[in-house]
Amino acid sequence: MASHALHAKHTHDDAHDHEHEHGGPKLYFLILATLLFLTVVTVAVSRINFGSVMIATIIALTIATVKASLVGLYFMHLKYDQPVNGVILVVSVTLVSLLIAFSVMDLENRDVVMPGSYKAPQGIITPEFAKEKRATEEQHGAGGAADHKDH
Amino acid sequence: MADIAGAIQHGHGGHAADGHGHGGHGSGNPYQKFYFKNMLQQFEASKLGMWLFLATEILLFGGLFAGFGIMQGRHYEAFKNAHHHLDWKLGAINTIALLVSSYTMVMAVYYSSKGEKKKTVQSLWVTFALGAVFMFIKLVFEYPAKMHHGLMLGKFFAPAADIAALPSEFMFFSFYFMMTGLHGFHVVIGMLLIAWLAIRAQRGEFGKGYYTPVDLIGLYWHLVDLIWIYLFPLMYLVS
Repeated sequence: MASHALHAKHTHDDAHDHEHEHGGPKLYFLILATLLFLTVVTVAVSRINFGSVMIATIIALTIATVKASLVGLYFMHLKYDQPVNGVILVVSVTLVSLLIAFSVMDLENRDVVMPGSYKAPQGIITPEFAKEKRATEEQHGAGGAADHKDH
Repeated sequence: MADIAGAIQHGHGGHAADGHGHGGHGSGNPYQKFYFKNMLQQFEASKLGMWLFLATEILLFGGLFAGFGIMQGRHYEAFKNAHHHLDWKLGAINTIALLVSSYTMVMAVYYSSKGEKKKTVQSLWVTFALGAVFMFIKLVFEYPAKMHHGLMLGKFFAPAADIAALPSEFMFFSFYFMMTGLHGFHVVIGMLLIAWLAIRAQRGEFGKGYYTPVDLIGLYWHLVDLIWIYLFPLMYLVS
Protein backbone atom coordinates (compact mmCIF):
# COMPACT_ATOMS: atom_id res chain seq x y z
CA MET A 1 0.00 0.00 0.00
CA ALA A 2 2.60 2.50 1.16
CA SER A 3 4.95 1.24 -1.50
CA HIS A 4 2.33 1.78 -4.17
CA ALA A 5 1.93 5.36 -3.09
CA LEU A 6 5.70 5.85 -3.29
CA HIS A 7 5.74 4.00 -6.56
CA ALA A 8 3.22 6.31 -8.11
CA LYS A 9 4.92 9.34 -6.70
CA HIS A 10 8.28 8.43 -8.09
CA THR A 11 7.18 7.69 -11.61
CA HIS A 12 7.56 11.34 -12.38
CA ASP A 13 10.57 11.54 -10.16
CA ASP A 14 12.95 14.35 -9.87
CA ALA A 15 16.03 14.28 -7.70
CA HIS A 16 14.73 16.85 -5.27
CA ASP A 17 11.52 15.04 -4.57
CA HIS A 18 13.49 11.90 -3.98
CA GLU A 19 15.93 13.55 -1.62
CA HIS A 20 13.04 14.85 0.39
CA GLU A 21 11.57 11.37 0.79
CA HIS A 22 14.69 9.49 1.76
CA GLY A 23 16.83 11.81 3.78
CA GLY A 24 20.11 11.94 1.95
CA PRO A 25 23.61 13.03 3.00
CA LYS A 26 22.60 16.22 4.78
CA LEU A 27 20.04 14.56 7.00
CA TYR A 28 22.35 11.62 7.69
CA PHE A 29 25.09 13.98 8.76
CA LEU A 30 22.69 15.82 11.03
CA ILE A 31 21.71 12.50 12.61
CA LEU A 32 25.37 11.61 13.11
CA ALA A 33 26.03 14.96 14.78
CA THR A 34 23.04 14.41 17.09
CA LEU A 35 24.25 10.90 17.95
CA LEU A 36 27.73 12.18 18.81
CA PHE A 37 26.24 14.98 20.89
CA LEU A 38 24.08 12.48 22.80
CA THR A 39 27.18 10.37 23.43
CA VAL A 40 28.80 13.39 25.09
CA VAL A 41 25.60 13.91 27.08
CA THR A 42 25.62 10.27 28.25
CA VAL A 43 29.19 10.58 29.48
CA ALA A 44 28.54 13.95 31.12
CA VAL A 45 25.39 12.71 32.86
CA SER A 46 27.23 9.65 34.18
CA ARG A 47 29.57 11.99 36.10
CA ILE A 48 26.62 13.31 38.08
CA ASN A 49 25.64 11.49 41.22
CA PHE A 50 21.89 11.02 41.24
CA GLY A 51 22.01 9.17 44.53
CA SER A 52 20.40 6.09 43.06
CA VAL A 53 21.76 3.64 40.56
CA MET A 54 18.20 3.03 39.40
CA ILE A 55 17.73 6.66 38.35
CA ALA A 56 21.18 6.77 36.70
CA THR A 57 20.36 3.57 34.79
CA ILE A 58 16.99 4.87 33.67
CA ILE A 59 18.53 8.13 32.43
CA ALA A 60 21.29 6.25 30.59
CA LEU A 61 18.76 3.87 29.04
CA THR A 62 16.53 6.76 27.97
CA ILE A 63 19.38 8.51 26.16
CA ALA A 64 20.45 5.19 24.61
CA THR A 65 16.89 4.61 23.41
CA VAL A 66 16.73 8.05 21.81
CA LYS A 67 20.00 7.27 20.03
CA ALA A 68 18.73 3.84 19.00
CA SER A 69 15.53 5.37 17.64
CA LEU A 70 17.50 7.84 15.52
CA VAL A 71 19.63 5.02 14.13
CA GLY A 72 16.56 2.89 13.48
CA LEU A 73 14.39 5.58 11.92
CA TYR A 74 16.98 7.21 9.68
CA PHE A 75 20.05 4.99 9.22
CA MET A 76 17.94 1.85 9.00
CA HIS A 77 15.32 3.70 6.92
CA LEU A 78 12.42 2.58 9.11
CA LYS A 79 10.79 5.98 8.78
CA TYR A 80 10.32 5.46 5.04
CA ASP A 81 10.03 1.71 5.08
CA GLN A 82 7.25 -0.85 5.04
CA PRO A 83 5.72 -0.72 8.54
CA VAL A 84 6.17 -4.47 9.02
CA ASN A 85 9.95 -4.10 9.41
CA GLY A 86 9.50 -1.64 12.24
CA VAL A 87 6.91 -3.92 13.84
CA ILE A 88 9.48 -6.75 13.93
CA LEU A 89 11.98 -4.49 15.68
CA VAL A 90 9.50 -3.09 18.19
CA VAL A 91 8.09 -6.53 19.04
CA SER A 92 11.52 -8.06 19.67
CA VAL A 93 12.67 -5.10 21.78
CA THR A 94 9.41 -5.23 23.74
CA LEU A 95 9.87 -8.93 24.47
CA VAL A 96 13.41 -8.33 25.71
CA SER A 97 12.15 -5.48 27.90
CA LEU A 98 9.50 -7.77 29.37
CA LEU A 99 12.13 -10.40 30.14
CA ILE A 100 14.35 -7.87 31.88
CA ALA A 101 11.54 -6.08 33.72
CA PHE A 102 9.99 -9.21 35.21
CA SER A 103 13.39 -10.69 36.09
CA VAL A 104 14.43 -7.55 37.94
CA MET A 105 11.06 -7.31 39.71
CA ASP A 106 11.56 -10.86 40.93
CA LEU A 107 15.07 -10.28 42.28
CA GLU A 108 14.05 -9.55 45.85
CA ASN A 109 12.18 -12.81 46.21
CA ARG A 110 15.01 -15.19 45.44
CA ASP A 111 18.05 -16.53 47.24
CA VAL A 112 21.50 -16.52 45.76
CA VAL A 113 22.05 -19.82 43.99
CA MET A 114 25.53 -20.99 43.13
CA PRO A 115 26.54 -24.19 41.36
CA GLY A 116 27.62 -26.93 43.78
CA SER A 117 30.99 -27.14 42.13
CA TYR A 118 31.62 -23.43 42.56
CA LYS A 119 34.84 -22.53 44.34
CA ALA A 120 35.30 -18.96 45.44
CA PRO A 121 38.39 -17.22 44.09
CA GLN A 122 41.03 -17.23 46.81
CA GLY A 123 43.27 -14.57 48.26
CA ILE A 124 41.98 -11.56 46.39
CA ILE A 125 40.65 -9.47 49.21
CA THR A 126 42.40 -6.15 49.60
CA PRO A 127 42.54 -4.21 52.88
CA GLU A 128 39.71 -1.98 51.72
CA PHE A 129 37.34 -4.88 51.73
CA ALA A 130 38.84 -6.95 54.50
CA LYS A 131 36.41 -5.55 56.98
CA GLU A 132 33.40 -6.39 54.86
CA LYS A 133 34.81 -9.83 54.26
CA ARG A 134 35.17 -10.48 57.98
CA ALA A 135 31.61 -9.40 58.52
CA THR A 136 30.41 -11.74 55.81
CA GLU A 137 32.44 -14.64 57.14
CA GLU A 138 30.92 -14.24 60.55
CA GLN A 139 27.52 -14.64 58.98
CA HIS A 140 28.16 -17.46 56.55
CA GLY A 141 31.35 -19.21 57.58
CA ALA A 142 34.66 -19.03 55.73
CA GLY A 143 33.67 -21.23 52.80
CA GLY A 144 30.74 -19.25 51.52
CA ALA A 145 32.37 -15.86 51.83
CA ALA A 146 32.55 -15.09 48.16
CA ASP A 147 29.04 -15.66 46.99
CA HIS A 148 27.38 -13.70 49.73
CA LYS A 149 29.75 -10.80 49.64
CA ASP A 150 27.42 -8.10 48.52
CA HIS A 151 24.22 -9.64 49.51
CA MET B 1 12.89 0.88 -2.37
CA ALA B 2 11.76 3.85 -4.34
CA ASP B 3 14.94 3.71 -6.41
CA ILE B 4 14.10 0.21 -7.43
CA ALA B 5 10.54 1.23 -8.12
CA GLY B 6 11.90 3.91 -10.40
CA ALA B 7 14.26 1.50 -12.09
CA ILE B 8 11.43 -0.91 -12.74
CA GLN B 9 9.38 1.86 -14.20
CA HIS B 10 12.19 2.76 -16.55
CA GLY B 11 13.14 -0.80 -17.30
CA HIS B 12 9.66 -1.79 -18.28
CA GLY B 13 8.86 1.30 -20.20
CA GLY B 14 6.56 2.86 -17.64
CA HIS B 15 3.99 0.14 -17.10
CA ALA B 16 3.87 -2.23 -14.17
CA ALA B 17 4.36 -5.49 -16.02
CA ASP B 18 3.27 -8.30 -13.76
CA GLY B 19 2.30 -11.09 -16.12
CA HIS B 20 4.33 -10.47 -19.23
CA GLY B 21 7.21 -8.43 -17.95
CA HIS B 22 9.96 -10.51 -19.45
CA GLY B 23 8.69 -10.36 -22.97
CA GLY B 24 9.23 -6.74 -23.77
CA HIS B 25 12.24 -4.50 -24.02
CA GLY B 26 14.45 -4.18 -20.96
CA SER B 27 13.46 -7.75 -19.99
CA GLY B 28 13.99 -7.20 -16.26
CA ASN B 29 17.00 -7.08 -14.02
CA PRO B 30 19.51 -9.94 -14.30
CA TYR B 31 19.48 -10.23 -10.50
CA GLN B 32 15.74 -10.88 -10.40
CA LYS B 33 14.73 -14.39 -9.35
CA PHE B 34 11.94 -15.92 -11.36
CA TYR B 35 9.73 -16.40 -8.29
CA PHE B 36 9.39 -12.67 -7.68
CA LYS B 37 7.02 -10.45 -9.60
CA ASN B 38 9.50 -7.62 -9.82
CA MET B 39 12.64 -6.20 -8.25
CA LEU B 40 10.69 -4.18 -5.72
CA GLN B 41 8.95 -7.26 -4.38
CA GLN B 42 12.26 -9.12 -4.30
CA PHE B 43 13.92 -6.26 -2.43
CA GLU B 44 11.14 -5.99 0.13
CA ALA B 45 11.10 -9.76 0.69
CA SER B 46 14.88 -9.80 1.23
CA LYS B 47 14.63 -6.95 3.67
CA LEU B 48 11.83 -8.61 5.61
CA GLY B 49 14.01 -11.70 5.94
CA MET B 50 16.90 -9.58 7.18
CA TRP B 51 14.71 -7.93 9.79
CA LEU B 52 13.59 -11.33 11.04
CA PHE B 53 17.24 -12.30 11.40
CA LEU B 54 17.92 -9.05 13.26
CA ALA B 55 15.06 -9.90 15.63
CA THR B 56 16.85 -13.15 16.55
CA GLU B 57 20.01 -11.11 17.13
CA ILE B 58 18.14 -8.78 19.48
CA LEU B 59 16.80 -11.76 21.42
CA LEU B 60 20.28 -13.30 21.56
CA PHE B 61 21.81 -10.18 23.08
CA GLY B 62 18.62 -9.57 25.08
CA GLY B 63 19.24 -12.70 27.11
CA LEU B 64 22.69 -11.45 28.03
CA PHE B 65 21.36 -8.01 28.91
CA ALA B 66 18.74 -9.63 31.16
CA GLY B 67 21.43 -11.69 32.89
CA PHE B 68 23.54 -8.59 33.31
CA GLY B 69 20.62 -6.71 34.85
CA ILE B 70 19.82 -9.53 37.27
CA MET B 71 23.39 -9.97 38.41
CA GLN B 72 23.90 -6.26 38.75
CA GLY B 73 20.90 -6.12 41.05
CA ARG B 74 22.22 -9.05 43.02
CA HIS B 75 25.90 -8.13 43.26
CA TYR B 76 25.50 -4.41 43.20
CA GLU B 77 28.67 -3.48 45.11
CA ALA B 78 30.80 -5.84 43.05
CA PHE B 79 29.45 -4.49 39.76
CA LYS B 80 29.89 -0.91 40.90
CA ASN B 81 33.46 -1.60 41.94
CA ALA B 82 34.27 -3.69 38.86
CA HIS B 83 33.13 -1.16 36.29
CA HIS B 84 35.80 1.25 37.54
CA HIS B 85 38.36 -1.15 36.07
CA LEU B 86 36.99 -0.36 32.61
CA ASP B 87 38.43 2.61 30.77
CA TRP B 88 35.41 4.70 29.77
CA LYS B 89 37.60 6.84 27.51
CA LEU B 90 38.44 3.85 25.35
CA GLY B 91 34.76 2.91 25.40
CA ALA B 92 33.82 6.44 24.30
CA ILE B 93 36.35 6.39 21.44
CA ASN B 94 34.91 3.08 20.34
CA THR B 95 31.38 4.49 20.52
CA ILE B 96 32.41 7.38 18.27
CA ALA B 97 34.13 4.98 15.85
CA LEU B 98 30.97 2.86 15.56
CA LEU B 99 28.61 5.83 15.22
CA VAL B 100 30.73 7.35 12.45
CA SER B 101 30.97 3.95 10.78
CA SER B 102 27.16 3.76 10.82
CA TYR B 103 27.09 7.10 9.04
CA THR B 104 29.60 5.98 6.39
CA MET B 105 27.60 2.77 5.97
CA VAL B 106 24.35 4.60 5.36
CA MET B 107 26.23 6.80 2.90
CA ALA B 108 27.44 3.67 1.12
CA VAL B 109 23.82 2.51 0.82
CA TYR B 110 22.86 5.95 -0.47
CA TYR B 111 25.64 6.11 -3.06
CA SER B 112 25.09 2.56 -4.24
CA SER B 113 21.39 3.31 -4.75
CA LYS B 114 22.47 6.28 -6.88
CA GLY B 115 24.89 4.13 -8.86
CA GLU B 116 27.91 6.13 -7.72
CA LYS B 117 30.44 3.36 -7.75
CA LYS B 118 33.54 5.19 -6.61
CA LYS B 119 31.90 6.84 -3.61
CA THR B 120 30.21 3.55 -2.65
CA VAL B 121 33.54 1.75 -2.60
CA GLN B 122 35.18 4.55 -0.62
CA SER B 123 32.39 4.66 1.96
CA LEU B 124 32.54 0.91 2.39
CA TRP B 125 36.28 0.87 2.98
CA VAL B 126 36.02 3.74 5.47
CA THR B 127 33.35 1.73 7.30
CA PHE B 128 35.66 -1.27 7.27
CA ALA B 129 38.53 0.83 8.62
CA LEU B 130 36.39 2.19 11.47
CA GLY B 131 35.38 -1.36 12.37
CA ALA B 132 39.07 -2.19 12.42
CA VAL B 133 39.76 0.76 14.75
CA PHE B 134 37.07 -0.57 17.07
CA MET B 135 38.53 -4.06 17.14
CA PHE B 136 42.08 -2.73 17.47
CA ILE B 137 41.17 -0.78 20.61
CA LYS B 138 39.35 -3.79 22.04
CA LEU B 139 42.02 -6.36 21.32
CA VAL B 140 45.16 -4.28 21.84
CA PHE B 141 44.23 -1.85 24.63
CA GLU B 142 41.20 -3.18 26.49
CA TYR B 143 41.30 -6.96 26.75
CA PRO B 144 45.06 -7.32 27.43
CA ALA B 145 44.84 -4.72 30.22
CA LYS B 146 42.11 -6.74 31.94
CA MET B 147 43.95 -10.01 31.45
CA HIS B 148 47.16 -8.49 32.73
CA HIS B 149 45.44 -7.68 36.01
CA GLY B 150 43.77 -11.08 36.17
CA LEU B 151 40.33 -9.54 35.66
CA MET B 152 39.03 -12.48 33.68
CA LEU B 153 35.77 -14.27 33.27
CA GLY B 154 34.43 -17.02 35.51
CA LYS B 155 36.94 -19.30 37.17
CA PHE B 156 39.86 -17.49 35.50
CA PHE B 157 39.18 -14.46 37.65
CA ALA B 158 42.33 -13.94 39.73
CA PRO B 159 43.02 -10.25 40.31
CA ALA B 160 46.58 -9.07 40.84
CA ALA B 161 47.58 -8.16 44.39
CA ASP B 162 47.40 -4.42 43.78
CA ILE B 163 43.86 -4.52 42.40
CA ALA B 164 41.06 -3.72 44.77
CA ALA B 165 38.54 -6.37 43.83
CA LEU B 166 35.53 -8.02 45.40
CA PRO B 167 35.14 -11.75 44.83
CA SER B 168 31.81 -11.44 43.06
CA GLU B 169 33.41 -9.21 40.45
CA PHE B 170 34.11 -12.35 38.47
CA MET B 171 30.43 -12.13 37.58
CA PHE B 172 30.85 -8.68 36.07
CA PHE B 173 33.84 -9.74 34.04
CA SER B 174 32.06 -12.85 32.82
CA PHE B 175 29.35 -10.63 31.40
CA TYR B 176 31.87 -8.09 30.19
CA PHE B 177 33.83 -10.62 28.18
CA MET B 178 30.80 -12.55 26.94
CA MET B 179 28.86 -9.47 25.84
CA THR B 180 31.67 -7.40 24.37
CA GLY B 181 33.18 -10.60 22.96
CA LEU B 182 29.95 -11.61 21.21
CA HIS B 183 29.56 -8.04 20.03
CA GLY B 184 33.16 -7.93 18.79
CA PHE B 185 32.55 -11.19 16.95
CA HIS B 186 29.63 -9.50 15.19
CA VAL B 187 31.85 -6.55 14.31
CA VAL B 188 34.41 -8.90 12.72
CA ILE B 189 31.70 -10.69 10.73
CA GLY B 190 30.36 -7.31 9.65
CA MET B 191 33.83 -6.19 8.54
CA LEU B 192 34.25 -9.30 6.41
CA LEU B 193 30.84 -8.74 4.83
CA ILE B 194 31.64 -5.08 4.16
CA ALA B 195 34.97 -6.02 2.54
CA TRP B 196 33.04 -8.46 0.35
CA LEU B 197 30.59 -5.68 -0.54
CA ALA B 198 33.42 -3.29 -1.37
CA ILE B 199 34.94 -5.83 -3.76
CA ARG B 200 31.58 -6.44 -5.43
CA ALA B 201 30.92 -2.71 -5.64
CA GLN B 202 34.35 -2.24 -7.22
CA ARG B 203 33.30 -4.70 -9.90
CA GLY B 204 30.29 -2.49 -10.56
CA GLU B 205 27.73 -5.05 -9.47
CA PHE B 206 25.49 -2.54 -7.67
CA GLY B 207 23.46 0.26 -9.09
CA LYS B 208 20.06 1.90 -9.09
CA GLY B 209 18.27 -1.31 -9.95
CA TYR B 210 20.05 -3.58 -7.50
CA TYR B 211 21.82 -2.76 -4.25
CA THR B 212 20.04 -5.18 -1.92
CA PRO B 213 23.24 -6.66 -0.36
CA VAL B 214 24.54 -3.19 0.53
CA ASP B 215 21.22 -2.29 2.12
CA LEU B 216 20.87 -5.53 4.11
CA ILE B 217 24.44 -5.64 5.39
CA GLY B 218 23.95 -1.98 6.23
CA LEU B 219 21.01 -2.99 8.43
CA TYR B 220 23.17 -5.61 10.13
CA TRP B 221 25.94 -3.08 10.73
CA HIS B 222 23.51 -0.58 12.24
CA LEU B 223 22.18 -3.25 14.58
CA VAL B 224 25.71 -3.96 15.79
CA ASP B 225 25.98 -0.22 16.41
CA LEU B 226 22.63 -0.23 18.25
CA ILE B 227 23.77 -2.96 20.62
CA TRP B 228 26.93 -1.00 21.41
CA ILE B 229 24.80 2.10 22.10
CA TYR B 230 23.28 0.14 25.00
CA LEU B 231 26.42 -1.72 26.04
CA PHE B 232 28.55 1.38 26.43
CA PRO B 233 26.59 3.25 29.12
CA LEU B 234 25.54 0.09 30.98
CA MET B 235 29.03 -1.39 31.19
CA TYR B 236 31.33 1.61 31.24
CA LEU B 237 29.38 4.46 32.74
CA VAL B 238 26.52 3.68 35.10
CA SER B 239 27.47 3.21 38.72
